[in-house]
Amino acid sequence: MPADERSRPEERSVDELVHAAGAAATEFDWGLRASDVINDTRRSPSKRLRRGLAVALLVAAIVAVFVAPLPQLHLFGSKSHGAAGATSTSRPVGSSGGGTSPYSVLAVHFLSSHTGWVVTGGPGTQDRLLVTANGGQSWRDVTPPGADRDNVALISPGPTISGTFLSASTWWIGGSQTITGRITVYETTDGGRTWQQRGRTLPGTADSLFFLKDGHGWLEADNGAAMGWNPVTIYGTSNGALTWTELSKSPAMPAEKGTPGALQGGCDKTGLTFVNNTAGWATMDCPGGAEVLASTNDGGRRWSPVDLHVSPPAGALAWPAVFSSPASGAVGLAMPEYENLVYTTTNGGSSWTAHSTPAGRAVASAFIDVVSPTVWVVSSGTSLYVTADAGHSWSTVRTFFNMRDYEIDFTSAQNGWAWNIDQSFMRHTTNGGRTWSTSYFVGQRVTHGEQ
Amino acid sequence: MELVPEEEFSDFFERTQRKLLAQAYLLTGDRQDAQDLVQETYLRAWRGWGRVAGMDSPEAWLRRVLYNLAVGRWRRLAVRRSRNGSFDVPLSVPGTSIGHLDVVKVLQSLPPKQRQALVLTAFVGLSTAEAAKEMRASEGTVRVWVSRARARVAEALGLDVLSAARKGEADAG
Repeated sequence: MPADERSRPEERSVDELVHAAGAAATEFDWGLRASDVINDTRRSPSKRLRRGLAVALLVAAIVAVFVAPLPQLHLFGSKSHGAAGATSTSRPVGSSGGGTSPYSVLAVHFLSSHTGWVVTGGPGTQDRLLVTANGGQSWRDVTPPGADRDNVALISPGPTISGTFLSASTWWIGGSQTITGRITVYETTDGGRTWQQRGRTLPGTADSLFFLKDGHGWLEADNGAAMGWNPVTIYGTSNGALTWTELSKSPAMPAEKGTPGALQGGCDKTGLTFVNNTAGWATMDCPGGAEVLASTNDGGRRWSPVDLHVSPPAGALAWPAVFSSPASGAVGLAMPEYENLVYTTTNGGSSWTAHSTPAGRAVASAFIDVVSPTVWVVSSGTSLYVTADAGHSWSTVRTFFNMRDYEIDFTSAQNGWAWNIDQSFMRHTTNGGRTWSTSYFVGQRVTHGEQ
Repeated sequence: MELVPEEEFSDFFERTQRKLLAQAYLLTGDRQDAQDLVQETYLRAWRGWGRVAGMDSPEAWLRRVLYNLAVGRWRRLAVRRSRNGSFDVPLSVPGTSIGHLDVVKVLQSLPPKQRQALVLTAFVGLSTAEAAKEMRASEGTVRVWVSRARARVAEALGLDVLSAARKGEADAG
């Protein structure tokens, strides 16, 4: 290791230190040989394998005897959770009514208190897109036929689902094919009953997809990354994804050049937002401090950094910008141990005002859900902070579960959902977090709900 | 000429083993444990080589298996720690400087998923989106894991995570 790595740690980012430690470890003489591995498995059955099988059988027996018979609701102790448990609407939606679920809730996005989408998935299962029209009482599987082939990820990229849901009927979603490394955009105009693949496939992974009602749309495609370098290509369409034009491309490597005015290659891109055909915003997470917000005034070809008068420290998170009109918008910025802020503009981004949140200097990052320029929901630990007047007043609610590992999606100051990707359920509140009900997703395949 | 499976596996092993060993070391903080985990990972790869070789990314499969084996190890260690009181992470690794050991030690204090997310992005070189796919998590979740991991590591190593922010405020006047 070069001497300066040790002497000037403050000039090294955490990522660089971790990478340097790992790189040093690759230089060890580990003494492993492929022939050892091949020869080991020829001793059949090996002690190792027999021991593994014995443990697996024991675990399976324990699970069969003690875990499987438990009704799912018991796992969460409804009575001890007070009102939250008492109002539970535990509602398996799968064809199998019990047992452990292979599904996890990967992403949630609600357009209103009634209409929303969930992407479920899990090891060895295909991502499924489910839709509800009654606030989660029942669900329909509306996965596009082309997207349920192997290895198409419906989420990922983007803060929630890589899609735009303009209304209860018209949506575009991006599916990322991991084998071919290409993106397919699907469109529906009948609430997911039928889908059309739109246009040609595009290279990369769908990072963010944003559409306006007139069919103008933008796709932020992740071009692959290394060591904190996250180059993207921005594509644009003016005809509802039938044809796409490459608008800008970040430099693929630090020493290379992108298209003039492209988003920088460093920093993880977290979302695109456009207010009309020309004006848009891009958000980024930049470890170590750099720009988190950029704007364009030519439809996505050239981008300029926005000065928020703060240099985010390591671990800062920027959520996608939300605009209610071309003039009025907001961006959430969480900075661990420093401040959790919401920035607002009322003049189309000419100036931005920082607003503190009650999460204050929380050690861990808070989730900041900017529902609108005036409604913000912030979760931190077992606290949920909600404002409906742009931060002038806040309500604080203590939740019975630690929100540290939960993502949140609210449609108003009262109505919202929380989910944890390790679990096959999501929680729903209709009173600003005071009580929560729970919806479960079980079964290998989801049957049609009662819509 | 087509390689026989042994040759194909050996090529794959040579191409991937050093990085996987280093990843295991970052995850476990212990050279012997890292070696055992990696050996077990490759044993599983070789047993299922016909299937693994045909995967879109056998390296990603290796990393997932390694992580799952490591989690099992951590759970066993957690039991041991609860029974025996304090548990010290072994640090005496020949061939590394104290600076790297500091980093490796701090990584062991992170929750497993935060640790994995940081190692995948900072060392393996995956983007957040790629790490999310590999960890079967949404990108937002992985962002938070990495963010929290960075903040904890920075704090533990005495990196002044606040200075940049304060400097920004001062510059803004």
